[in-house]
Amino acid sequence: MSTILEWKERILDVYDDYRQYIQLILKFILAFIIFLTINQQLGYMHLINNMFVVLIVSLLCAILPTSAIVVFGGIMILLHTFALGLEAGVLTFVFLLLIYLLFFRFTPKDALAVVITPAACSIGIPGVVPLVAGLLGGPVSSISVCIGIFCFYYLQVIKKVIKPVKSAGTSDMLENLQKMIQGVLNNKALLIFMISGAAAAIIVYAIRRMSIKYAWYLAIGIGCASYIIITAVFSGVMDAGISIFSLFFGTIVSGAIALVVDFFNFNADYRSIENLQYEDDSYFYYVKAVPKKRSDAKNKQWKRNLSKMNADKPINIERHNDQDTDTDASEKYMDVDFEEKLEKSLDELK
Amino acid sequence: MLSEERIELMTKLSLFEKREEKRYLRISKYYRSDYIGISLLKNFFAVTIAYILILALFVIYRMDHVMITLNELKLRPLTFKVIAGYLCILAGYSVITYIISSLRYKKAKKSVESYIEDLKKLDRLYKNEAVGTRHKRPGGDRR
Repeated sequence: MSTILEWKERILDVYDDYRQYIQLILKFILAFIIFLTINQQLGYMHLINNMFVVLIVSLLCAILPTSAIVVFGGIMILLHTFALGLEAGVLTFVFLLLIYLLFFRFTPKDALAVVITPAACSIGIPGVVPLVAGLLGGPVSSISVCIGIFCFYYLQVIKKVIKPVKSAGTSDMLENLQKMIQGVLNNKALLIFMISGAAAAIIVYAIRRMSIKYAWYLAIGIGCASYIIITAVFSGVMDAGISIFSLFFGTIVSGAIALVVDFFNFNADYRSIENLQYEDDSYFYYVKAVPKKRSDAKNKQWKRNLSKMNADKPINIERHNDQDTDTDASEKYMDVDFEEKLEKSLDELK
Repeated sequence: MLSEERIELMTKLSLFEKREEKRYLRISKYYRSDYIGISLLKNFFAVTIAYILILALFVIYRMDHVMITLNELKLRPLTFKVIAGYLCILAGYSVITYIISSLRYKKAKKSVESYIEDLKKLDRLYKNEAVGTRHKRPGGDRR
């Protein structure tokens, strides 16, 4: 365990030293995966369905703020759907505008979940987004998870509904629009994954905030279990035809990723909990202090710092002694009658 | 001469300006009522546009149903439903906007207050240094 902790500290040290460059690389990788997934899912516009274009846009996103990934991702989806058909493009534009007007005006930071979720779904690990959103975000993140799942299934609907219609050469726009809306509204898997994703995000958030031992591990475990159970139960009831094996396997992988996130973000040492109790004028405090896990090397360094701090204390003691000598001095002159002395010196002056 | 305290303070201030200038400093320029009022006005336009779009999608999806209702001239209940739905959504979103903008304003004000405090501290440090240099004689303190 100590070796793993040492590795973590080394990685974090390297991250601190080269933060700027590492962030650029991470943003590039994230943007590259997302854009590649969008192209794989849709890929109707040949101009942007090109590795060279994806690389350039990803490089651009690496320099720009994180929200640029969302903007470029949205633009790419729009261009692909417009290439497929005017009605598909218009409907996509309307959905994206609605998502912005009704949700992301309030939580612009969560917008990244919208583009990450389709990528996670297409890899087969849809559970990773609700789990990580519950660990790192708040309860509002569950809305972002729902919207991300909606985006993924919307793209699936476009593929299933519009592509065959377009191939057949039907050009009744109203009918196509109706089919697409119907495809979205009647998609059972979309509804089920939205419910289970939102529930898992809220459950994970609620448990990891609890003041209990191993809260984050419990949150991940219960979050995974609830995600599988809710999806499986609803799938059975609604006859949605979701593969339980892939759901189970995908959720286990998602749980493992969530554990890595936990390792780098929280990682508390629950074996050495300290319970403190104190009070002030207004309150009684019952505090539970959970130390952070540290490697042996860091522990030694911390102890050295502590002993150094203790070694510095005699200075204060000396100062305290100085004060003592002052009080000694005052005691020394206790017998002296200063009033009398002052009168004498005044007489001499006269 | 370089002052460690001053450099630390200046770094803190410039970091705040870089990170929060757009959000907090801009928000704190408004009075609370003005900021919340502007947020509610923006919310009104956003909700109105969103409601029109939702309505358009509904009309497209249930075109047959809507046409039948219009043919039967049942306009009054339809209009009532449309307006009631709009008012409900607008009221809900207005409450959410009010709460969020109040919290944002409070947070912005608090962090800008600490920013101004740091600015004053920096100003005091500069003044103290200026007083210190004014008392120094050219060529040092040797007579």
